[in-house]
Amino acid sequence: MKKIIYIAFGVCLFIVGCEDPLDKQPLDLISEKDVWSDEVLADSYIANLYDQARFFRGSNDDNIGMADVLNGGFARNYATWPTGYAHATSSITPDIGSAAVFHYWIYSDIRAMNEAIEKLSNESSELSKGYRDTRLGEVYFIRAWSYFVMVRLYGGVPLVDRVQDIDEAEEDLWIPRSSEEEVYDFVASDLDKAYNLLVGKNLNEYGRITEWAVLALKSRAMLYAASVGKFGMVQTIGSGDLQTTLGISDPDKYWKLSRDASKEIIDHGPFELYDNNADPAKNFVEIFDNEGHSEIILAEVFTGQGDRWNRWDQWMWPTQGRNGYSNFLKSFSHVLEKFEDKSGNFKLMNGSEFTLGDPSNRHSLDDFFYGDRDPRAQASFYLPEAMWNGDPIYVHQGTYDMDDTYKTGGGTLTHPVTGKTVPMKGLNRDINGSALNVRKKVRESHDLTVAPEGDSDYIVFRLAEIYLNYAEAELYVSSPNGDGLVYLNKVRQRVDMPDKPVLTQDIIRNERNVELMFEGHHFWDTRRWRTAEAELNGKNFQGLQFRYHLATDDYEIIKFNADNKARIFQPHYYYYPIRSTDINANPYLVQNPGYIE
Amino acid sequence: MNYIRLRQILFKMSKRSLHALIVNCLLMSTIYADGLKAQTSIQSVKKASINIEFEDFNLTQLIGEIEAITDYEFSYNREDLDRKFRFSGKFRGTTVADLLVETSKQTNLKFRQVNNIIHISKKSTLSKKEEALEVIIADVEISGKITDENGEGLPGASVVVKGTATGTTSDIEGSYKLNVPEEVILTVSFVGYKTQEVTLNGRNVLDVQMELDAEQLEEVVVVGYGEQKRVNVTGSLATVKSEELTKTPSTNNTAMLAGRMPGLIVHQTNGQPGNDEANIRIRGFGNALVIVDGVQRDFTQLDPNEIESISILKDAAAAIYGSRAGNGVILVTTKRGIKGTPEININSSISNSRSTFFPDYVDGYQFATMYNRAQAQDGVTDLKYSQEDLLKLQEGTESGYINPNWQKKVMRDWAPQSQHNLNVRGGSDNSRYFFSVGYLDQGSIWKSGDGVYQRYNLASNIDTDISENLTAGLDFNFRREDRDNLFSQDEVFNDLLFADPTVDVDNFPYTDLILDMAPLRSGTDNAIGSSTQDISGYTRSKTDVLNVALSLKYKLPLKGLSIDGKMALRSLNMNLTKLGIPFEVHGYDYQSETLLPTSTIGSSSLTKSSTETQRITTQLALRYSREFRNHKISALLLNERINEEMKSFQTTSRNLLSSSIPYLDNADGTTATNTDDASQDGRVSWVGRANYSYKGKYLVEGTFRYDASPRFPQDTRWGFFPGISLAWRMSDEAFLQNSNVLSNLKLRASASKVGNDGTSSYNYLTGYGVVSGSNSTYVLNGNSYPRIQSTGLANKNITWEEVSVYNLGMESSFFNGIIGLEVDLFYRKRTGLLTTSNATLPNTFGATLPQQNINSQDNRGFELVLNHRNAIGGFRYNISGNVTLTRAKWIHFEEREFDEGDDQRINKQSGQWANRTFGYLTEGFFKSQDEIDAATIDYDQSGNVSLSPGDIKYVDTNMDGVITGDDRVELGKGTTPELMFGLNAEATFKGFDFSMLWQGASNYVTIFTGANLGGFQSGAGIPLTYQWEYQWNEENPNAAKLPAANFSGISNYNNRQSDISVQDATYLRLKNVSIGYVIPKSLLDKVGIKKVRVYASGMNVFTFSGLGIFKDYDPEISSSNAQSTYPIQKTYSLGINITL
Repeated sequence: MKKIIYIAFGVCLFIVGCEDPLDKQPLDLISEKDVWSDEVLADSYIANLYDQARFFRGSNDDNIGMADVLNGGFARNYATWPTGYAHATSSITPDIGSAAVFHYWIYSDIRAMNEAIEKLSNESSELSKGYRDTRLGEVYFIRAWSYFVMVRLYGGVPLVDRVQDIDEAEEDLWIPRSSEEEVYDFVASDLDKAYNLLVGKNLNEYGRITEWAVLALKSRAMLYAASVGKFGMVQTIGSGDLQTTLGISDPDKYWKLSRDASKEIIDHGPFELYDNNADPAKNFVEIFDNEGHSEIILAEVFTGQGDRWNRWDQWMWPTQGRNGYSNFLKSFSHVLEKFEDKSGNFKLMNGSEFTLGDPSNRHSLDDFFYGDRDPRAQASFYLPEAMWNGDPIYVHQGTYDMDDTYKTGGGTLTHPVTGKTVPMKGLNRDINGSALNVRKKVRESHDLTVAPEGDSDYIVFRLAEIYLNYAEAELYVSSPNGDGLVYLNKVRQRVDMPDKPVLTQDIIRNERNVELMFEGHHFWDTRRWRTAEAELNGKNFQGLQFRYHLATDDYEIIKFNADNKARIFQPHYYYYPIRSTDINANPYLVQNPGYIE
Repeated sequence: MNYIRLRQILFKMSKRSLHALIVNCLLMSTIYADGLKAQTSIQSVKKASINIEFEDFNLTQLIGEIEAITDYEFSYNREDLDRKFRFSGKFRGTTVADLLVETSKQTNLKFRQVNNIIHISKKSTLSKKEEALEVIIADVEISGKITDENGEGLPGASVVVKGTATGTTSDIEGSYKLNVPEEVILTVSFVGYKTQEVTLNGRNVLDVQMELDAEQLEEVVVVGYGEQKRVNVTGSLATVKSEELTKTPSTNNTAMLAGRMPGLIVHQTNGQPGNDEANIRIRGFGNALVIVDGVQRDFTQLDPNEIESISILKDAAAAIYGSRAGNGVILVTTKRGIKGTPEININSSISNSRSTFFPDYVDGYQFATMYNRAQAQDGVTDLKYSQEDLLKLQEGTESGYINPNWQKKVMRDWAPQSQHNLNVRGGSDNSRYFFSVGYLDQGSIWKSGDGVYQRYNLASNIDTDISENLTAGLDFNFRREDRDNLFSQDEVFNDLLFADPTVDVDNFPYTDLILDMAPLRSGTDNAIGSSTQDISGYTRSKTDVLNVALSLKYKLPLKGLSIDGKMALRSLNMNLTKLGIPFEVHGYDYQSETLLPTSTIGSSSLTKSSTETQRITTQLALRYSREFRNHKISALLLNERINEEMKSFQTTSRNLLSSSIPYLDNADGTTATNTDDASQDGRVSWVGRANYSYKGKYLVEGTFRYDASPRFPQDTRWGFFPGISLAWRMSDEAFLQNSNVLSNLKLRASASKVGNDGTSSYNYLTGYGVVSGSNSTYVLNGNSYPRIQSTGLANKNITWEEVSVYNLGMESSFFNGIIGLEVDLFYRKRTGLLTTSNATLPNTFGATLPQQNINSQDNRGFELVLNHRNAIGGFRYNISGNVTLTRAKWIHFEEREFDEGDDQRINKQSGQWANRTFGYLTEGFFKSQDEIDAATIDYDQSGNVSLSPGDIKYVDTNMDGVITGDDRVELGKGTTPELMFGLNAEATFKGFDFSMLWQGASNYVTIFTGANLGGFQSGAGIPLTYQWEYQWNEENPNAAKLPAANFSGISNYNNRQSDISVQDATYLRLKNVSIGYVIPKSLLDKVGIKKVRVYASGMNVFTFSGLGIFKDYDPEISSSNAQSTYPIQKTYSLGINITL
């Protein structure tokens, strides 16, 4: 009996001795209270909102990051998989899937922003008033940015300005689409709140939102609203309670708002155009290579370390790219043609009737690429024989030897007199796709053989854009200040291009294309100007190939059909469809016109 | 005078015993085919009776007299005998021992019997307690023959000394030899026959004829927290024994189960060494709970030689596992020691394996032709490959145009594999042991030889009787898994997918690696590099899994009552090192014969990670089992507590100084990214079970479990899960007992309520968590902030899904077990399935709703097993077929409101079968632009402007003039099989054994999309040979079965799910086949080996599939992603089983 007692005792002890299996906590959960009473944790929450704004969209996802470039018509890559070009040549339908460039339904981010706004507005918070107000200003900006990104894609969207509770009444929970105008007004109003909270704050905190960044967004967003009003039409969608309006009925109001925001930056902001290198082409490259300089109003910071980096360099590297990533974006002949010469002429190529061997297609480097062409061309493309880390980049697909025999082998050829030695063909990847490759924003000093991580900051707003926004608004606004041309010409003067005598729509648009090319503007510009249909629909863009002539040291420039398939842009694409999955789940959502459910 | 009397008595005595022997033999005539053979045997003096009367004998006289009337002989030193001693006595009906003991008392002598010789020696003067008499009887060798019902020798029958592990098995002729102590009972058994017990009765030749058994009364099966005789089982349960698992070598215990048991849906989707685990779904439900030796543990990587049996519990039998039992339970029991002389088993095999299926890529000429076609499709006139190129590629003789085969460069024909196990099993009177050591070495299909999986298994199960009532057990099970993988296996498949078949890799003139030029994607690669560790790096992991269990069992003084406790620890440690090495590849210009500059692939990086998990399970149980006349009762009450903890971290740094020093301090610390994770879990349960049977005919079992889990809030944390099952052994009723046809019939019925708590933990809490993954930090003012965000809304009422399971079953056998039939019908209803409610919150709300217990689904189906077993002459065979059908229907599926008509027909799930695949019907392809222009239907919703010849013509099923989602019809079932079948056939003849297992599945589909359909389309790599054959082009506008390829990615149009892309995946596979030979015992006796079996076997030998033009895909994988998945292997093995 004793034995039993011992054993029973032993066994019970050993079971009771173990910890309570039900007394468990998730080990990775931080409490709400901790976050909103500690500046470090609250900053981490706000850091997440900055990231969710996706200024440089998909910095780590190359396909998405370049979709606007691809589909904007200025460039495409030659691989088949990026969705941008695929969608440029097929019908856009509501069941488009996850093609991110057309899908930006970010209400979970909006909720996170609303939550921050509520917590930071809480007067009984343990956080200091000064801290709360500054961060509140930043969050208002990020919310404005997010609605702006949605409104330019869909037109009006449901406006959610608070953290909803599951138990709310149905009529409060379900929010139908607001009109496009209401959303732009909401953006403006958030920006005004942000401005008031941020005046004088964050000025030396690189990467953080300042009052000037707020004005810059206002300048851009209101410009979009105004152009939708001017070039688009007003249409009613939905019926009954769900009825709403697409389009802007009073563009002038927005021209003014944009112009005034721009003017405030121009007149009172601490910014000036970057102009530190006497060589205008090199100077233009430095805008993107140097960081923290006077032209930058807001930048998203990439350090190339730890977990904060982007892949632009890796994808755009000119030759011998690491892992074969290089020369990803191919541009077209008509894009190079947008860079005029110093006399203000567009150097056009021969028309579409292209014949191989036509002597009129022979051009020397100076004659066509360098010489007096806008220096920004050199900074935007890898033109033939561009110097890269001390060596010229060759992009020709073959060489006519001294005896005019065409050679495409792997060796080099040397001119007997000048001694100039060139490879028979360039090493540019996929040379037959189009030899005009995008160079803008690529950091030459980045040693790709060491690390693929790009550390260039992404410029969200820079002064040149504000100048051009200002010029554009000045052209259309009912009561112009009259100095729009001055600022357009300042942008030109920096690159040693002659002043334009008058401000016209064409001049502004071309300047904008050239100055801001490959910075994520063109895609949206063609949509707000309602020019996408004319620019894209039915088009097969022409690529460029080069053949070098050793005897005469010039290139035969070949224009060829680089788009396999004609692009499609139908008038209703100015408003992208709300995805079927989203619209089916929410009866309060009205689909944009033109899309079949 | 005395002499004479003594002899008379003795004669009478022997006559009597002879008589008894004869009678005995007659009575047992069924057993003794040859019972009257002359017998001699050794008897203990304690048992040998003697009648003797003598007066005044000296010792020598007495010895002489005993020698004369018995078979005993004496041995002694004359000096030891006291010459003066005189002795008288009268011994009647006593034993020889009595006489000797009496003699010892009166002298200074002691006696020691060794067999028939009695040794006499002097007593020691020191010890008073010394025994006067010692009996030592050496084992007798007995032999005999076991025969079947026809009198044919029965090989492989087991002959065991009752109550011990001493025993042997019969040889090919049915003969056996065994050394036994004098008087024992032998237990003779053979699967399918009634077990017999026979008494030696002094004989040393013993032949036994066996009788067929319809019921296998004695078979014991493992059930939840205990074991039961199969006859008494009331629930639905299926079992596989270790012999079946070790008959042919297998690298993974899960894949091995396919087709062997009714009710299992086994689905293997990957063949990578160390990662070739199959999904097991009991009755098609979700992941089952796996219990090994009573505690939750995995079993896939156990050495199959360690396993005694695997049982699956399908109905109320599983209910004892409560909140985790909703998907059924897999019970694995490992081998333990049994009393007896040690039996040593050695199993060894070597194998070679190759892929069952792997899609073939087109060659250079086909590629170039298809490339040109795709360009032409896009209207390109300047085609990439000239007519001259095509001709040269077709000829394939000129340098630079020789068609290479990247696949052959990277994959080898056969992957080697070997498996060895040594185990020892035995025990003494109070201690029993099982030791096992196993090793598996599995090579990969890569030509580099890299990607090897090695596994070491060690097991030791020891049971000791500490006292008569107290038994302790110590189970120790350790395994190490070494995975020596490529840096990225996915990358190899990807590189192969894009490797340019026009690049002359076979004749590359340099030793360096060639650039594959990747014509179809941005990126340069080389599959040879990425499949070789020396070039591109490696991913090496070492996993140590330790399972230790200590158990105590104590029989309480009250008869039938016992208490036992168990504490089990499971500890897993995984360490991983992943080293990335950058390498260079070259382009080469064949025209000028020059090497082009290099390109670097990969980057220098080092990842180290460690995962540590621990689970401690404690159980304390009270058991009662008692029989009163016709009533049998047993009961169990158990408390179980589980504590779990997991910790892991991972750190990655880049830019190592040298890849030959794979240490983090050699890398650039500023590039480091880290993750660190921990979690914990637990459970408390009360378990009860009661069984009652009346006359063994009427059986009832009730179980309950009261479970708590910290994953749920306190209010909903405890759940009660009862189960009841009934069985009626109808064949034991008088009116059926004497049936000549029916030998066994049992009816079963059960109902239970169980749960399924497969939710991510802590859904009832909310807060903030740190974001991980790429760009998980954000830099502001030079500071790098980790990002934190809300974990989402909490559901304060979350709890388990409730599952009701009903089962009706019938077990029967006919004609003495020649035919057996088992049928089960089941119905399962699950309520409270977790889903996010979408009907109540708008998608502008911004938070994913917490999961709620909303959905409900039911499953129904049947299982059927049909057996046939017979013996014709020496040829015995056994055929067993099983079929399982299971289908699920949504009772409630949380979904939006649907419009009447097509929307509802296609999208509504509530009230519909859960596995339906919808898609478009097609009617060929557009043959020309004219046909597109003339089309009256709007195919692309853009007036057909995006269409080209070779695009699919969809059927406008609703005739509204436009192709929309509404035109979709139901094309097939889901991607998981509904119907599973297996056919197992076994036969033995003389020393040969043969077995094969056919296994198949049906009622499911594989969906082919993207690259499988189009080639060149978005995301597609090098086309596959069937695409060359079937893809639309201008030369075969009518024969095509796949849309035309082009480069502009009309994938959204042609990629739609249609009757082209949805294919019935029914298959039938020869899963296992083996032929073995047992070497005749006569040859082995000389070397002292008990048994040797040699065999050859094959696994996944043939497959018949219904995939049509997609015949290059393994139907079992059920994924169109086969070019990127390590293929399932077919394996041929040679092996040997040795018993020492």
